[in-house]
Amino acid sequence: MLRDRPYRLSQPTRRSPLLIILLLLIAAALLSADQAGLLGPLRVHAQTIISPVLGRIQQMGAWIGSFVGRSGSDQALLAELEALRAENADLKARLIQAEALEFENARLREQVRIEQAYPWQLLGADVIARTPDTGRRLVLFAAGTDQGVRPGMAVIAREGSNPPALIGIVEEAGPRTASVLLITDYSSAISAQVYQETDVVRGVIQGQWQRGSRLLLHSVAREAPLAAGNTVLTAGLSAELALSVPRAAVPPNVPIGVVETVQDVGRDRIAAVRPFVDPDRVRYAWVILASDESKK
Amino acid sequence: MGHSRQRRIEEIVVHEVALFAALLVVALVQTALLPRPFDVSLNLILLLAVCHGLIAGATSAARWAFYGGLALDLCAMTFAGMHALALLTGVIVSTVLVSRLSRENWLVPILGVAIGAFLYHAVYALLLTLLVAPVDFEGYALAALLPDALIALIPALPLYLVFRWNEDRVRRRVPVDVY
Repeated sequence: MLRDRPYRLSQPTRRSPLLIILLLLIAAALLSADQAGLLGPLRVHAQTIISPVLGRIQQMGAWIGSFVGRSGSDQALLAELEALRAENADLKARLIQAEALEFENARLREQVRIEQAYPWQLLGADVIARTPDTGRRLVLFAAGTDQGVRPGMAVIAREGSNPPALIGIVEEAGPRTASVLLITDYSSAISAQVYQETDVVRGVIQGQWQRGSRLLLHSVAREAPLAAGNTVLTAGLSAELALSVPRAAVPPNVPIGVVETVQDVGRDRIAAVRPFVDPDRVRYAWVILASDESKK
Repeated sequence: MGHSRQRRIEEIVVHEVALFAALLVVALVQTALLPRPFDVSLNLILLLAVCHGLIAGATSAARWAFYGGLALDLCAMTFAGMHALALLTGVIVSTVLVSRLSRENWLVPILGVAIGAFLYHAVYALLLTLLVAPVDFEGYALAALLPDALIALIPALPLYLVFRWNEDRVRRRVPVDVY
């Protein structure tokens, strides 16, 4: 008797080299097309759709994290707390609103403080996602070309008592989001300088995360007076030379970090640099939209 | 005849779109939701594709790797096809090599994921060197490959057992009296 229900025959495992080769070829073709810039508009559209979803999921993750964290504490106290919260629903809503406003105020006050101390025009936004690769250091920033963000602009953040410092450079900008290449990524190389009493030491600051450390200052002349404790700043060479390249948007004298150790290798002097701000911990950052050196 | 063929094509398209959508959700979860112990992210797509490949074969695994790779490219802001190529290489080679062993052997998923992770990172680092910037392979191996592979090995066996259980469950649906 045949049973009246769906059935599925188990098929023997087949290997179709044709399909595998086809998929490999499509992937390679996509890679070439994207590298040649043919998929640019498509990528921007896709990013416009994906970014809000990523932001929502990130928020959900934070909520779940806080919930899981709470579940470990005293359950009875939590139950009582929940009851109180239910009774004071209106009050809670106002409190949340006030907290949000206070939080936003604090960020804006921080921004004003930085803008008063430095000749920069800033735009603040959340860091909504980080790249899923362990091997790269990229983040997605919640502001894009609609807000004036352009590739090559410097992104800064502040941590603890340290000065506001460079955490990355805008690599690509969509209408509402921008991807930021963090300074710790190995592919990040930015002109840097160290002010000595009467001298300026110039070099290149290179990301070193994939090499087990943070930043490396290299291409420094061996006789340059470089010592542990020196502050490393951006040199803004592209901006100074008025080059029409994206990096020209990085202004000079943006703090980067502090020299930890100095070493001589061949004809060069290199230095391990500890960044003022750990880019991996940043959740809110500012893009330097413009720099007016005359304000100083 | 023509109608049934068209219907078959529609079914295939719907199936493929659904698979891509599901893997996109997994990629989004991997990007934004999964915890990162010691700053290392679990490569969920690689894990799923390898474990699926060990059960269903290299061709099916290649489809998962391709769609999953494209989804990761969307989430990771990298060139389209970069993750897809790396995943395809890792998943296909590991599946073909390890599927020669008995399915009952518990080392199968461990070996599959280890080989898959190694090849995935090797190809990815190579593509980074060719397309983005030169990678210090030794440093990359220590900072990215090793921790990534180790963390992926933890859920490899339970996930493989779930896939195998599901496969066995589906097989049992076949009524013997059809024959």
